Amino acid sequence: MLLTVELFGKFMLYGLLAITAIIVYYAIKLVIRARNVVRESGGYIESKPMKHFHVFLIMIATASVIIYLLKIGLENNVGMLNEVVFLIFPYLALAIFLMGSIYRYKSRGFQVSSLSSEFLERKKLFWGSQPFHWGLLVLFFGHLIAFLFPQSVLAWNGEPIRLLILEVSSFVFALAALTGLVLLIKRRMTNSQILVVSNKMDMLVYTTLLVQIVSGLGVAYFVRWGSSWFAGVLTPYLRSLFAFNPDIAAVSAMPWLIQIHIISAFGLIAIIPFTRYMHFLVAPIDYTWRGYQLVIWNWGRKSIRNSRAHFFGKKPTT
Amino acid sequence: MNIHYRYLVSFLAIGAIFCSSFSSMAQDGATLFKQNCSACHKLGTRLVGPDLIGITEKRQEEWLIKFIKSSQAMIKAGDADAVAIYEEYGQMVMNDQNLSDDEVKAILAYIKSESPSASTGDVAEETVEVEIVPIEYSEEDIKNGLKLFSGQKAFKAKGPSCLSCHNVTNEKLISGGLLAKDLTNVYARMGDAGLAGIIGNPPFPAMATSYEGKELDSTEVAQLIAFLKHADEVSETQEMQIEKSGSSILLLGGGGGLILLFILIGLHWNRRLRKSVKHDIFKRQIKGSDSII
Repeated sequence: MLLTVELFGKFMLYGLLAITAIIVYYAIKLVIRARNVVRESGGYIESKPMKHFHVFLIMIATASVIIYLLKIGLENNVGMLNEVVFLIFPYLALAIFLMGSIYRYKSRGFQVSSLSSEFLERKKLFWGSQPFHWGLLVLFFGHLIAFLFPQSVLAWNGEPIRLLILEVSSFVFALAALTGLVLLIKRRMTNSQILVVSNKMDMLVYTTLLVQIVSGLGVAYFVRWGSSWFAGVLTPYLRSLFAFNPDIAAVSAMPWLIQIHIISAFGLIAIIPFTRYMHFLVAPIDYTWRGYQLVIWNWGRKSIRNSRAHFFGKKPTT
Repeated sequence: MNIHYRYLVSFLAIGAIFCSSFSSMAQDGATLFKQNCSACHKLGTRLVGPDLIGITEKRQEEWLIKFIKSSQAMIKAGDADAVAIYEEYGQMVMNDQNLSDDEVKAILAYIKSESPSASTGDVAEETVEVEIVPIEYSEEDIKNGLKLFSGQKAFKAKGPSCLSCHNVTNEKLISGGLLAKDLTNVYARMGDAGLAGIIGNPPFPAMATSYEGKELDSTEVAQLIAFLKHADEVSETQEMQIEKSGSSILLLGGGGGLILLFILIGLHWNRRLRKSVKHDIFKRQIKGSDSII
């Protein structure tokens, strides 16, 4: 009885995966064949580029299916799933990130940027980009501090009021990041100039960020006081990964929301080299302390010509 | 160096890392029992879970292996014996043990060696339950236990506070974490011995990781139990106050903070360039063309 129920569940999951894979395979094959037939018979296929919004919707739907399957699989300890997602996948992601970044920087160095669209539209960008980036920056360093100095975080959280301050302020920054992200997605989807400079990987960026931020907010709310248990449970896991002595017993027993947050974090790291995420690595940090740049508009040409104010050193000879 | 050779070496290196991480060391039954079972089970008396003396006589080995690996799966599947045990022990969940068949067999062999021989197997059924003498705790213990629970007083070995993951409904505490079980009435369910076993040697993977190398000492354990006992006794009169509940604090604080953050951002960059960089150039062009016409 027991065996059959267990087996049935596994069969269902693997069956579902296999059927999905087969359907996708045959759908692709069918489309290619149909195109070939049309082409050979001299027909003309209008190559319509897919709308970015549709790509985004498909990616969100795919992400939901993957999350659902992972949730079922992790809750039922299917096969080696725990080892695959918490042990092999992180190393794979880090390897892809490392090698991919070096490759991209060496081969397409001038493309390593976030492809700014500030010149095209800046009003909506301000209210999207500011809360989003401040939110993510604070959260990133919050996670980093909990990873590097778990004891300090625990000491800070000792007094309940300090724990509340830390948790609520992190929640605020997470909400800011989510609000900013939603505004940015809306901006990109509705502005025709910006749609021109978008690509499919941008939609993947939005999808991963949405999954990451929403699952993080879910963890903070439904599995609360994460700032404290992160130091106890997840820091040892991450350290064991970096020490090449992985111990996945604790993460395997965590609630699925946290597991999804971890997996999507490593997924995000893995796609850094192929997306605008690359700008993490070339962030112009020195902008924070460099001096103002002097911009001279030359509309009063006569006054500039006669002015002695602008060139303190040698006058240009031309 | 030949490029293929280099690939081969790197593949071998990666393979070696994975293999080494999967291999587990073989251990003997006594050690395994101590590490994995002794928090809840003792040979000879009933603790949190049943006395295991003579269990190898009472049940089939396959049944035991299945139960140890996933008791909840068996209960869900409707195994009569498993359900009976579950009901008898107040629906306390036994954790799934991450052990191989061989390791379980080693533990069972150890239990068998500690049990009386098969001919006197009935003795195991009649083990007298040790009369539990309730331990008296002082007010001081309860106060210290509360401080340890909330984290106001750090554990000597610097382990995380209980509040991080557990909730206890008590007027002196903010609402606790939701990662692990609510402990308001845990004393009633487990008693002194059970709690001491679990706190001293946690059988739950996340808790074990958190306190690895940071084990609590015996006075801390006693003080925590004192507090949990007190919390259980007064739990009837306690209610979660709305201003101390974590959810409302997070939602209200989060929403308010978000508005504040937006205002701050707006104020700080109040003198930002609001129009396009090209705005003035564009206007000038239009103005110029006007003058020509």
